[in-house]
Amino acid sequence: MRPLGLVLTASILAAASVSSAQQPLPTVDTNLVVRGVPIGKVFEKFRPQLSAYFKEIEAEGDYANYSVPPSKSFEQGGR
Amino acid sequence: MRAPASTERRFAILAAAAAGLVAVCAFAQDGGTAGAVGAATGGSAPGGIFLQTRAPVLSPVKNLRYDSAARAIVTDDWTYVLPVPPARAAEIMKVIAKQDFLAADVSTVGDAALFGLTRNSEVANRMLIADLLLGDIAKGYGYFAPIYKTAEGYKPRQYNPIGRQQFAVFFVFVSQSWQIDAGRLTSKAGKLEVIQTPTIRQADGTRRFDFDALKKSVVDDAIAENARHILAHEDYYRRERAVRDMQSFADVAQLARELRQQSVDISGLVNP
Repeated sequence: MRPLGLVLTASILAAASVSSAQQPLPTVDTNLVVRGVPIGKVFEKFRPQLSAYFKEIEAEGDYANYSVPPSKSFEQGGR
Repeated sequence: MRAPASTERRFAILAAAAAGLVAVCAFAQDGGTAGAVGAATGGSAPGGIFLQTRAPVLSPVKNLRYDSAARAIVTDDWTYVLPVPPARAAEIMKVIAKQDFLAADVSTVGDAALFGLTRNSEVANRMLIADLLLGDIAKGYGYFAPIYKTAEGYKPRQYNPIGRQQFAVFFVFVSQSWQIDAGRLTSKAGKLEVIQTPTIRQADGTRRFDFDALKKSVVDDAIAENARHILAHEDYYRRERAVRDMQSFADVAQLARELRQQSVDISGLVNP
């Protein structure tokens, strides 16, 4: 029989892991509006190019200036 | 497709174009880098990425050839290893065969103005990416802000896109000088320039330089502050691949211009 403390710790860790997996990454502001101008839509017109670029730099680990893996994060904004 | 213009409208467009051309020519004389951009693009789309070249300085080349295995341009005196994939170098050379610069601009309506570049080409797309990333910081829009780390956590000031005076920002990359070390030719990067220009929206949706505002040195304070930040942290922003690529493109463009000056057929030099 396993000690109760160990079981509880394992349960908490498992719950935290599920929670972090479900946590959406921050993503670009697709609905950005600046003083009535839908700037987000301007950027979104270039989503295919941006998507390809982010995939490239993320695959090669070349994204030091980003706070999150940019491709995974960017794709969430396109849903 | 654009609707046929009426005769009156055609005359009005021609008159405006003629007046604009005079202004562009005058601006080109004393407008510094902005003047060079204005002259190159005929005063249109004064924003985005501008890859400038300078007057050629390389000595006459001997036995020039392209080594596809080494991805290098080789002469008796030096070897230049392409800093970009051969397909991109070939595209840049085809453009420089006809003009001295490369330019691409994302407009505020989401269209792309390309000067001599093929739409959806690798070079054009990468230039547009660089414009989107740098332009977002320079104008403080914040589209990428949730995922991008600005240098020292800087929060860009937001430009007002519906203010009385409109502005465009362009980012100028240039190769400053050549070095030959142990037979290898390399380029030293010039300092990045971030330049804002007052603009006027045209009836067809394109933007042109606002020469009256330029004469009065009208500037946007938010863009000026953001531009100062970018320039103060140039090394940081050059860590971005798209920005590094702009310098590499400018270096290849410079070499292309050098070789064109020496009557080399640069259009067919690099076979991807």
